[in-house]
Formats: sequence, C-alpha cells, structure tokens
Amino acid sequence: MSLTSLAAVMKRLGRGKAARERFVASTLDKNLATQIRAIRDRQGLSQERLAELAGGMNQNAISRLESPTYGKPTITTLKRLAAAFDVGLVVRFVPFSQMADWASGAPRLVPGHSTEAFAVPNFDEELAASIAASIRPPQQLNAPAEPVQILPIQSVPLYMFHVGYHNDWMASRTNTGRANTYEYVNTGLLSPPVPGIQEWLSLINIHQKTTGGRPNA
Amino acid sequence: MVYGPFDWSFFGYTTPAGNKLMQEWYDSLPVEARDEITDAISAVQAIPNHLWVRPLFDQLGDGLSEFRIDAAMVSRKFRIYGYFGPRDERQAYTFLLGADKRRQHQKNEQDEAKKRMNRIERGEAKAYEFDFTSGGNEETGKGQGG
Repeated sequence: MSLTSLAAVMKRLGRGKAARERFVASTLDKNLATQIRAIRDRQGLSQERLAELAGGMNQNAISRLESPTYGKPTITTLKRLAAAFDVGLVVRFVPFSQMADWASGAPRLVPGHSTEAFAVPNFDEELAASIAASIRPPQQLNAPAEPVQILPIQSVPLYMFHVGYHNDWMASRTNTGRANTYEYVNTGLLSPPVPGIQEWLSLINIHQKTTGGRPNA
Repeated sequence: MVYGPFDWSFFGYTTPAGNKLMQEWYDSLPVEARDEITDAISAVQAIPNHLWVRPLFDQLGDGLSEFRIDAAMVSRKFRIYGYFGPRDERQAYTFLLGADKRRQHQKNEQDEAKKRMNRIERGEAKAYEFDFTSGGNEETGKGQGG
C-alpha cells in the first residue's frame, strides 16, 4: 500500500514543471536503488556475486547503484543487471498520469509501492506461479461457474489475466513444498458478483511447479 | 519461493495530552522537504527492514533508529528518530522526533526520542497513523525540532 494518495500526487504534480521534474528524478533515483537491493535480496545474492553475474562490474559499483544518492546507472548497466537477475526491464517515457498511478498505487492499474513491484519475480518464479483463466462475457452475470478444467502448464498464459473488473488484473499463487508435484487450485468465482459491474471469472487453474514433472491433467 | 509481502505502516508520536508532535513538525516543513521525506520513506515501505540501510537509515542502539533525509532543494538535512513498533503492530515503524540535522543537539534529541518510545511502550503515550499527505505550508519553512 502506497503512502500517498493519487490526489496527493496529482496535487504535487500540479505545483509546476520544477515540481514534476523533481518528482521524476526523486522517484527514479530512490526506487531504482531500492529495487536493485530488493531483487538482489530476494535472489540471495551478495553484491560481489551480482557484480560477477553482471559481468565486468565490481562490488563497489553495485553498492553505489544501491544508493539513491550515488547511483548513476546507465541504460547499459541496467540491461546487464536485468540479465543478471533474469528479469525484464522497461525504460520508457510515460504520461504523468501513469506515473502518478504507479506512485500512489492507484487501484486496478499497477501494484504501486508493493513488494511485488520492487522485488519482481524472475522468469522461473513467474512460471512456477502461472495462472490460467477463461472469462465469461458480462451478459452472463449471475450464471453459475463453468466446470473446472485442468490445463497443462505449457498451455496456459504465463501470468496475469484480465478479468474485466474495472480493468483489474487478477493474480494468485499457491505455496506447496512437496517435491515432484504440481498443485492446482480451482476457483469458480472471483467473489460474489456485483450486477452490472463485475464479470464472472468462470475458471482459474493454478499450476505451481515445485521441482519438476507435470500435473496429472 | 515466497518473498514478502512487506507493507510497512508508519506511525507518529502523540503526547499523553494528545498532541501530534511529529505530524506538527512534518506539516511545518517546506513542501519540498515533505516531498523528499515522503519519497525516501515510500522507497522502503515495501521492502524488508534489513534492507533499510545507510545513508538513509541507521540503527542507533537501544531500539532506537533514525532516517536521515537530505532535502537538498531547501538546503536542509533532517534526522527523524523512530523505532520498530508499537510492539502490538506488525510491520510498523513509529516516528518519535524530527529535527534539523545539527550535531550539537544529537544526544539530547536521542534522549528525548527514547523517552517518547518508552512512553508509548508503557502505554502512557500513543502512536497515530502518520499522514504523509497532510501539511499546508507551501513556502520554505523554518520548522525546528518536533
């Protein structure tokens, strides 16, 4: 949950171009440094090990990158870190509205200042938490759920899916510890539907990979 | 691998008489300083606290810690003393005392912060949910200790 509201961020942005410039710089400096630290922590990497994985870097360089005061990363450096972490990297210009949504954690658009937004999962972690879904069109409100289907993990979308509820993105994951098993969880409905607003989520199949094998679908 | 979630809540010291000293101090700051504080705290709000490190954060001993905020836009640096608590709250941090960074007053500030921490833990004073969006001072302020 973010510490600031969308209204507070918009008020800040409305103070003028200089305020917006500071907002961009401050957010970028602080959040990038924090994110590098958080992903490294999540993956259990030392600064030395991350420097090795990123190739041609040293521990001091990583330490500086993790400081919002001293870190001045180039895009090339960020790409090397993304490769080392095995995560995606998005560097793009956006409207301030999008940035405000992100900073305030505006509902149903972006996760905001959440752990997931900082310590992003790598490819394997996402695969392990993959989710499949099918969406019932909104005209079938109050209809019962579709029969549950079990889909092999290779055939399902990798991660999130749109459920048509105020542009929300729905994600879920399960936790199991047993080796050589998959766990699937079937959820018929997202929640009691709100007539005229919420579509039905007729099927969720979650397959969680632990150490190998395929579900008995 | 399960990681988190981390979702820290931030509280502020309230005197036994009900005065929100931390909030009053924060609200008295120039808007640029408040922005800097909010951005700095926001950046660590969703990560584990062992990643709260210098130069932003430091442990001072006896349960006391501090955020060090450099508000370069207004040429001021701040210390915000606090602690992990109240003890019955999960993932909570309470701001106890905020002040301009001045070495000569550091010991007194720490002593006062510890008193406030103890008052909260003894139930003599309270902590309220800190409001980062408050504050009406849009000009460069002269706020001192709070």
